[in-house]
Amino acid sequence: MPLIVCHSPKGGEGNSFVAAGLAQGLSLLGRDVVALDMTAADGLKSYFGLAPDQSLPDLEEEVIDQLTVGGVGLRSGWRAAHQPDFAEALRAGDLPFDGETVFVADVASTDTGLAQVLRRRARLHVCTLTPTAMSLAQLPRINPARALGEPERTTFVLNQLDETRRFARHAALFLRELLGDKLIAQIHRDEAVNEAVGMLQTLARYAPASAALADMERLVIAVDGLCAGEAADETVRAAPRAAKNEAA
Amino acid sequence: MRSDAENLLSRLGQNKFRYQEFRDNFADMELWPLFEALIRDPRISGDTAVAGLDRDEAHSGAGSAGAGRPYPASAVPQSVAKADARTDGLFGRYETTPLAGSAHEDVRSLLRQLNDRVAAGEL
Repeated sequence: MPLIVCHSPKGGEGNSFVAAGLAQGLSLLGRDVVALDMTAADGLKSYFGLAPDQSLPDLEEEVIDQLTVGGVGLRSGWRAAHQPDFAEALRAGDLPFDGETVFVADVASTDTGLAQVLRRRARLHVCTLTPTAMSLAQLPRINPARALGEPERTTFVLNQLDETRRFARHAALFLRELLGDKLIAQIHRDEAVNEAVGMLQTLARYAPASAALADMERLVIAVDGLCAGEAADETVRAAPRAAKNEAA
Repeated sequence: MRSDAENLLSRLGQNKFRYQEFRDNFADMELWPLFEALIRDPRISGDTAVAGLDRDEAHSGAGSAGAGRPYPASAVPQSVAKADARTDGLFGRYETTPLAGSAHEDVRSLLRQLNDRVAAGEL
């Protein structure tokens, strides 16, 4: 069930940027990827070089001509996710989160209920933070009553890192110690990200030598490795159950 | 080498520079009270007994915002409690020394230990 949930406890952290970069990078690694915009803001498409008036096909809509950018299928999951029976459909497997296709879901920071439902079915939760005091202050809300270092499927990305700023340097240091291996990547602040959206281009096309893109590549490789590891673990966990069912 | 530095040097065609990263060490890190508050927060340490939170409750979202739970008395800044008595400007009431000296020492000690462990190659 290759669902990757991108959700941050606070808006403005670059969650959509990270989701888009992950989808594009995993596609370049040869995965079949669908990027799911589950936000009302509908901003994920901007990181694919699409204009604001371009609408995405609905998750549950039968679409003949898929909207794809750079090999990534784009869908809007906002409407489907806010149907009363969404959680039940997810539990029953009526939503297409099985199979080989990797779904990268961009979930709004305020939509904590949806994020929790999806995280239970996700292979990985990617939580984007920025090295600001307001971002760090939200850390206790991510997994309340569960230590951040516990072996859960939550990983962290430190985005918009500017090491010329004192607090940012100290925050990065603090987070590295606090989160350990859970902090899987840091992405440097890069104006090229903003400019690429302004040019209606992907970052890879607009600024292929940008620092943020190089950092994103490292994140993609880390996530791909973690997903592969989780898949192997799931197989190991499922084997005894399958044998037991067969014996019964 | 950091990717942005590598890109810059390669664009400039420079190979005469020696690259070195100067990392902050823990002892030099500012003692931001926020960091200490986070380290002590039971929702981060996972200390449910202290937090007074049940895991299921937390995962259902009911406890995530701390809704309905009273603030501990210590969470109310004394300067705010005494606000009415102050007359020295609108924001004067927010002037406070939020943490005792011993608390600062705790963080300093923790950072020193981390620094020592890095120096010893344990981290």
